[in-house]
Amino acid sequence: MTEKPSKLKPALIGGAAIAVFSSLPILNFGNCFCCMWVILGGVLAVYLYWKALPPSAEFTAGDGALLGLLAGLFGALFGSLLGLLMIGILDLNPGRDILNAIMEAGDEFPDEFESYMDDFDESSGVHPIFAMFSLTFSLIINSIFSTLGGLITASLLQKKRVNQPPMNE
Amino acid sequence: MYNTLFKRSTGIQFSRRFAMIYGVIAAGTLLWCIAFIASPRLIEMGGIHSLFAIGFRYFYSFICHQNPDRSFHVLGHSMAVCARCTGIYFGALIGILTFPFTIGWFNEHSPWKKWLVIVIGLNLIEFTLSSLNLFSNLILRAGTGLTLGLGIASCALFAIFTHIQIRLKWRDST
Repeated sequence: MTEKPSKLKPALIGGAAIAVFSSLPILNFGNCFCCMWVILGGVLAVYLYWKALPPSAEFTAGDGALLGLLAGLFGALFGSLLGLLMIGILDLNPGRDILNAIMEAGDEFPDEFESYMDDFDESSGVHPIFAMFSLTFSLIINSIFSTLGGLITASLLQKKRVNQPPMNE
Repeated sequence: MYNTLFKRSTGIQFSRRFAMIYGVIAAGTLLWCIAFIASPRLIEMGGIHSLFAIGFRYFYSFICHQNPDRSFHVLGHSMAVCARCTGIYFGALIGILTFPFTIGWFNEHSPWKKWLVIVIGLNLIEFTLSSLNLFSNLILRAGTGLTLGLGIASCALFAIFTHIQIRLKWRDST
């Protein structure tokens, strides 16, 4: 049985790519197109793993899904940290910005909500609730879309190896 | 070994595992779609429901620009995602629900890769045209998004079930 390379390194690189491209201003709008950077992070992780794989080693869509999932989770963690760093350096308040955008969309929210808005105004930089929700939502979204990217890429790349039976059962 | 529901000429048995994975994916996608459709209704209901609407909108703000001019409106409020995303997610839902009847569980020769290239091309053309303000239409955005969602969902399901199929074949042969 051929030794398979570690999945950690490609997943970390894919995750780092997700974090950087999803956090940088302007570039992060790419995620508005079907979570492009997150999907591509999963694609990158699978591609790097596939390149490092010995020719005789098996490669399945399951490997791709796992790599994508790991890359997505790392991407969410790194992205949240990088996001906090960006907020500190650029003196942003994304929680307030996002909520303002929601309000400007013309929707009316209850009066009680104004107190939350004031809270966001007073907290310079990062509001703990915002940071917690951001991390949770990133973990959910990244794990879904990056797994999808990894899965589809693995299906595309595995054709050359598909006739070999899985050996790691 | 596996709880057989039916067996096709491929010799692969449709097991509970297939049904369970398919059910989870279909239910998850349905919930995903319900959440962004429900957002305007929750705002309309007011009170604590509005906070849920904000939660949904915040969630989808990670993956969508949510521009009201580029979104469908329900009950006078824009949906939590834009028209293109609406198309993509509904396309994915349709793709998943119709998968057993279109591509099928054990189709080893699906032309999905060609379809994926075509729908990505279509979406890139539409995206470019609307970005350059040459042609902009909500229905067209949603329509091209629908094809992309269909393509991606079909590819993903095909990859998942092919993976399971290979493993089952290998297990049966040992």
